[in-house]
Amino acid sequence: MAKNTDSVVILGSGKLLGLQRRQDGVEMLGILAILIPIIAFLINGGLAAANDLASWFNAFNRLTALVGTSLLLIHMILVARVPWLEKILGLDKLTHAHKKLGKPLLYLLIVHTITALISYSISDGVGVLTTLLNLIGGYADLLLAFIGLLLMILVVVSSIRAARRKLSYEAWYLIHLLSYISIFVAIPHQFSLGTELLAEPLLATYFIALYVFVGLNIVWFRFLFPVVQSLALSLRVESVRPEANRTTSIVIGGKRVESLGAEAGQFFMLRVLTAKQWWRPHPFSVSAFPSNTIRFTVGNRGDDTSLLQEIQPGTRVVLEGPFGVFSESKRTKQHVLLLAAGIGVAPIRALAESLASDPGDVTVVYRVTDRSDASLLDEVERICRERNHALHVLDGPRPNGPGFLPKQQAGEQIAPEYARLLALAPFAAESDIYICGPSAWSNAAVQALKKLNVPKASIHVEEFAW
Amino acid sequence: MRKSTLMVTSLVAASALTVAWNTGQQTLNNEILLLPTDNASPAVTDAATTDPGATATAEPTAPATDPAATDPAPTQGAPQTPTATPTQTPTKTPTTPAAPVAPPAPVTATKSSDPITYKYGTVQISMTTVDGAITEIKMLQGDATNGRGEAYATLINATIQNQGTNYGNISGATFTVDAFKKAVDNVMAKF
Repeated sequence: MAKNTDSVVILGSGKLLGLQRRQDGVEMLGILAILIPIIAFLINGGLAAANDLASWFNAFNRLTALVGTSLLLIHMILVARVPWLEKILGLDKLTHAHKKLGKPLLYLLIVHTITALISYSISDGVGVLTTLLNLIGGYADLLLAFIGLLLMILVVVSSIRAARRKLSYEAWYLIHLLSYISIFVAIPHQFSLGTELLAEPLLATYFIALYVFVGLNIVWFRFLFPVVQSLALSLRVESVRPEANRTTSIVIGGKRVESLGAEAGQFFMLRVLTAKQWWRPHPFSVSAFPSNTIRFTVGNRGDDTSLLQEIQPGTRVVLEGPFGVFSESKRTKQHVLLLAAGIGVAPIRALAESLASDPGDVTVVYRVTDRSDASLLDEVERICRERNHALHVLDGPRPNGPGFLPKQQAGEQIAPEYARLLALAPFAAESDIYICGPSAWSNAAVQALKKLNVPKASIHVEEFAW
Repeated sequence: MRKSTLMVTSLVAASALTVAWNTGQQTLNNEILLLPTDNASPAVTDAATTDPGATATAEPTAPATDPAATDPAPTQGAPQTPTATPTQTPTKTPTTPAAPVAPPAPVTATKSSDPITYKYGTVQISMTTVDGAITEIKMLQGDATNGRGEAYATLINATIQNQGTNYGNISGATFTVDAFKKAVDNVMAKF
């Protein structure tokens, strides 16, 4: 459960170094996973054996296949929601990396296909199209793999920004599920026809091990574990309460909720087990831990979040998580600056309540449009009063350009945002800074902090727009 | 990743790739495709000391051939050759004893192998020997698509040059090479 103020919190540069080392370590693992097959390929004379155009294309075809397979497995583990990886990098970073990797991965696999076709078409002296027809007509495994490639193209195309805007979430989600099929159908040709895997039992074992490892992680952590755990804890909606500014607090209770081990600032994927919503989880930040329950405060963004306001108490839910490194686990400094906008106040409120602090260590900046209609404002005010945090509630219209502070009034001295922020939070440069709000707002805040030379490692941003 | 770590990682990765590349070049020079002729002579002496009864492995038709031949081990890569050589040398025995029997006049013989069926089709060859030495091999059956046509030409040259099947793999055509070698062993047993 949430860390209390009396628990020991380790801070300092030693912790920072440890955190960075762990991150580097994970990234190096990724690099290693790609490097190993390339090295095996080179040692085996994969490139050295290339002596004419056809064999060059063939070598390239095999190399892109090996690198592509490694990348594909990395791509998958990134969204397997495995705790050991998530604790180090955070789910948003993992998801971001997954998104970034999608296109290059597809390009690699397309290059693999095309170079294979060109190579065989040169050595057989027939056209590329004929080669394609020969291959997919002659080998069932290649036909499957080709279908897999087409599915993968469909998945990536449906995920590019332009398509995401036009597609409903449901359509995108269903298409995205096809990626599992596309990966499965591509496996046979790798082991039945892949020169490298056939020739080098060690490399084949390596890839089988990777496949099994990634597969088990996905099946267990992404699918089975959350369901098993939630049913075992018999998690249910305890109460639903509307808050200011069209937000809703949902309290989830059950047996031993504390065994979920959530920290303030973290979030869960909430799956409400009703006929309409069971298949579609939503990420929600914990806003409080009242007496062995978990409370989410959710903004109404139309879609499913409006349905959530009508959930009946007693409805079973599945919680997947806790996720996120937007928590004290990444804090290394004594001073903390908490920046919240809109519904981003949910995790900020939880942090303000539980961060270990002496009076004056924590500064809270809460950006709202209208003070009289600000979600959880009374709670934030109470916490700051009780724990002696500095609180600045900034209301007012948005600035004309990009910015995260309210538009300056006619009489005010015109000042850049970083200067205004420094006036609110003098310790900003020596603080750990937690930012949660809409992404444009968060970006503007990060820009201002960069002007103040705040080290990157001290800025913690939770995006809820992914 | 921190800059320093990234630099060190890149350096290590680059050197690992360079070493791998060099190893690959050497592997290629020593192993793949055609073995240099000096490798052939120890193979023959090996063969002379091997039990002639071992030729029996080449006699049965394709499906019944020694499973060792289909083992992925005799493919490519430096560490694998030692294991590859002993399994293949026995097949040489028919050629060596044939030589002293031959009279001064050159004896030319041509025989066909059994059709060897394998994963991608069937391979059948005909072999011509002059005084027991392999001089010509023709493909009677063999699917020549996907670069296999090219592979056969390489394999025929390699077989004639080595007077047997004691040569490495063609990367990318592992199964075809195995099938071809089986066909050669099969036909050599008939002389």
